[in-house]
Amino acid sequence: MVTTDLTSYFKLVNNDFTNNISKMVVCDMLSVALKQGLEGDVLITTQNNCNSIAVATLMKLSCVIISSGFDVDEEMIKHANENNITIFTTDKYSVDVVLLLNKLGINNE
Amino acid sequence: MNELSLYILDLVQNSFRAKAKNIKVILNENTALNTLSLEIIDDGIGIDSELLKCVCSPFKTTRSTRKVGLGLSFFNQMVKQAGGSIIIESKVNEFTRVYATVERNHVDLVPLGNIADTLCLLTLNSYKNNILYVHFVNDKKFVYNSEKIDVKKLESDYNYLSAVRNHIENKVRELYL
Repeated sequence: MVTTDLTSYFKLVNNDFTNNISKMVVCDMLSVALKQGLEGDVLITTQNNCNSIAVATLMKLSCVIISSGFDVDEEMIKHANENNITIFTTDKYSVDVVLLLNKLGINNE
Repeated sequence: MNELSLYILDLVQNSFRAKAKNIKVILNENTALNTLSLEIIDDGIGIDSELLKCVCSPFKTTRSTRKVGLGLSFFNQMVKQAGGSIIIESKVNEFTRVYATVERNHVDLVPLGNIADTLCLLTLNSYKNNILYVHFVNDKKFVYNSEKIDVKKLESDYNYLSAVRNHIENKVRELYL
């Protein structure tokens, strides 16, 4: 699955880089997400600030989904575009994002 | 980073890298005002005014190994989510001061955590530095000065390390009684 496949389920807020998606990381404490995730993962978080993009850049994640209806600012979009990270937003809570992604075929096994 | 101690560890390590000789850590808790402030002042190489403007941005770093720096960025984020604000002041080759205040009872404020181990660990790495830790809880005060610790002995004598650690733990606990 690639990030483009998610555009009909979540709101795309910057460029789509058609990154390959492997597994899911769900965490609001970014220092913990940093330990947990691997290259290609999707990060689901409420942290709508540049630190999420920095973590995604460092870990070479495929995309970040900002859940629970939080907005994304221009600075986040700028850094995400510079570092090939696709950002989505959604009104869904993190747990519902996970359930949906799992239905779409992403699992952590 | 789910303990305040981990942020203190990280920020003091920044001071080490900035070649500071004297590092002061002041933690001030006031229950009546519902505030907790953390201040770290060092006499290291400082931060130039250009970098100072965006020092909390994770995409600004003095590291040469990678383009992302998370220390101050994570600290800034934690302070903001605990209803607080942060001030960073510096003068090149003179000082750097990081000052943050948060709501003491904010649900998203991380707990103090293991300050005893943190101070011991920092002391073990402080051959060239002096670390002064001052912790206030209302009108009570605890002062730890690494100058008074025998670093060589701390490294080699487990009983001494235990004694120092227990001393800090007990004194900090007493602050809350």
